Amino acid sequence: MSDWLELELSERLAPVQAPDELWDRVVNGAGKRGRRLLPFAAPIAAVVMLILAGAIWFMARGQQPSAAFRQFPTSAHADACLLCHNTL
Amino acid sequence: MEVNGQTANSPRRVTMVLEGSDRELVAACQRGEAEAFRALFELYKDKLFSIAFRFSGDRSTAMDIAQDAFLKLFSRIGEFRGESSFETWVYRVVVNSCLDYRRRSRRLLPLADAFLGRLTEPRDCLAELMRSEMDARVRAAVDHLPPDLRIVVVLRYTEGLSYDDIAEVLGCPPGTVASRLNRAHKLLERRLSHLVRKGNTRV
Repeated sequence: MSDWLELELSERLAPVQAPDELWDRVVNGAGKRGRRLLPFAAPIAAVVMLILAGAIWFMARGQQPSAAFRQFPTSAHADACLLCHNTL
Repeated sequence: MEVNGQTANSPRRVTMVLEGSDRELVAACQRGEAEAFRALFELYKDKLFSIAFRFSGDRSTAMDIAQDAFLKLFSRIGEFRGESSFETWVYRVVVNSCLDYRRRSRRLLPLADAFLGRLTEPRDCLAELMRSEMDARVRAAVDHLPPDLRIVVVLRYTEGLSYDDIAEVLGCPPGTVASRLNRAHKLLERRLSHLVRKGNTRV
């Protein structure tokens, strides 16, 4: 391995001091875990919910007319055709 | 409770714990003595944070990793039986926390994380930028190493551990450590060699 790389790694990866607030984090359990994801997770969850709601609404809306249409001659106006077509 | 004629809350006791060997300190922690936990924290906080920081390349992530490592350390200290040195055991805990973090973050949004990091980068003056340029490039090159190579590099250059010590921490043969370091060096040389060629001097 090159000497310059050995030197660079030793210098650039040198130990650092732990921040003072680390003890508070350990003792009180206050952490940032998940906070970085949260700004993305909330909008993504909202968009997914909207898409799901839209899909459900669209499917429900699409089914209603056809169901009503299928029921139309048999229920509401079952004998309407007989008014004109006596032989039916 | 009395130890050597001192009551549990006396200042003498804390001094004794701080000056004691790892074995005494661990025994005190295993008995649940609060001062011993604090003393242990003071003894290892820089080591743990340095490894976490050099592994993750990010201060707030390093805080998360170090916090996690200390919580594991404190909650599992009763499991320490002295089969290896306590320091090796501590290294194992923080290495596992680093690798656990890596596994978790792989499932999340690494690109978004990198983007956020770029946005929140401090805007330094030109001189500061020039000085930190090489720093940033070396760190970026290390950050891009696969986790199993990166942790070996961090233990070697941040903590100055020998091949044998690293092997003990990672639970693998020293030959594996040597081969991982060799691969890491080759990758880093390839990624950083242009910086040396460009100016033929180090920044």
